[in-house]
Amino acid sequence: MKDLRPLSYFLGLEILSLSNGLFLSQAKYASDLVSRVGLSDSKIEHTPLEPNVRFTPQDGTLVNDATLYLHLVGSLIYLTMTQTYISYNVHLVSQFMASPRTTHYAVVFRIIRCIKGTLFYGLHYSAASPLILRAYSDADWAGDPSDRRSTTGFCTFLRDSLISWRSKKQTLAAQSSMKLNIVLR
Amino acid sequence: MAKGLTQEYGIHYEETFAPIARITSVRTLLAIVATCKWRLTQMDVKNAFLKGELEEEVYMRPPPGYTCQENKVCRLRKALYGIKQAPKAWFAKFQKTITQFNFSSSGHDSALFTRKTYNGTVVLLLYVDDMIITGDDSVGIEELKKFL
Repeated sequence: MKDLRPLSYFLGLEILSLSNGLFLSQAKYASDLVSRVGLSDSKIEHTPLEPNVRFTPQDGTLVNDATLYLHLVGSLIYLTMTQTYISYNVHLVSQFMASPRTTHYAVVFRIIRCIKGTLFYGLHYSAASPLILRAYSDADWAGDPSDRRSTTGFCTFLRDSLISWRSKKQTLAAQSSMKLNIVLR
Repeated sequence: MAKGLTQEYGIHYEETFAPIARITSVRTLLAIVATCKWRLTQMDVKNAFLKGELEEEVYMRPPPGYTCQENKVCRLRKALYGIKQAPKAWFAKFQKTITQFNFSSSGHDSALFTRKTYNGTVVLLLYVDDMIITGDDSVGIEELKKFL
C-alpha cells in the first residue's frame, strides 16, 4: 500500500478544500471532452435542450457508426456526477443508444457546447450545513410521445448539500396523475 | 496481463462480482466530511489485483521468455491482471484484512468500512484500488495507515 495524502483528485472528481466547505468539480474531465470532439472554438450554448422538443426513435436519419455516440453519451453520464443540470438531457439521449439518429447526435453536441460554459461549475458542500435529509421528486405527464411513459426526477439533499439525484423513465404507463407521482421507479 | 478471455465459467472461475463504492456514497461522505470538518486523505494501492488470493485452481501457460520444461504449465496461487476473478479476489482479500482491524462493512454499501473506537470513528471508502480515508479519530487514521 502506498502514500496517504490529502484528498484532491478521486475518480476524475476534483475536490477542493475551502474555508467554508468542500467544492467538487470535473473541470478537467469536461474540458478534455470538449476538446476531444473539437468544440473548443465553437460558441457556448446556454441551455442543454430546446424547450418543448420531443424525440422519438424515428427522428432524422440513422447514423452508420454508433461508436462515437456511445462513447460521448458514456462520457456525459460520467459528467452527471457533478453537472446535475444535464441529468435529464443525458437520460434522454441515452435512450437512443441502440440506434442513434442524426437528431440525437445534434442533442449530444448541444449538451457538450452547453457544458463548455459551465466547466468550472460543481457541487459545494457547505461546512455550515447541518445534516438534515430532505428529498424532492416530481414527474412529467406522459412525456415520451412514443410510449406515453412518464419521466421521474428526484434529488436528495443533506440540508444544503446535494448528494443524490436521478432522472428516470417510469417502467409503466401511468393512467392517472396520482399514480404517476406514486410510481418512483 | 493474463489472457482472461480463455477462461471458462464453472471451470476456471465461479463468481466475478466485486463491489465498488456507489457514487452517492462518495458524495454523501464528502458532504458529511464538510460539515464535521474532518481531515480527508486518500490512498491508492499499487498493483492491487496481484494481491488477491485464488480460491479456484487456475493454470496458465508460462509467459514468453520464461524458460522451463516444454509442455509444462504453472498454477496460479495469486491473482494476475487480466484474469476474470482478479477484482473479486482483491476485494475479498481487502475485506478480510480490514475486518481483522475491527472495521465493519456497511449494510448499505459494502465498499464502505467504518471503525468506531473510544476516540471516535474512522471511515474508509474503497473504489477498486483507490480509497478515501477520513474520520474524527486521527490516532485511528494513523494506526490504519501503519496497518495498511
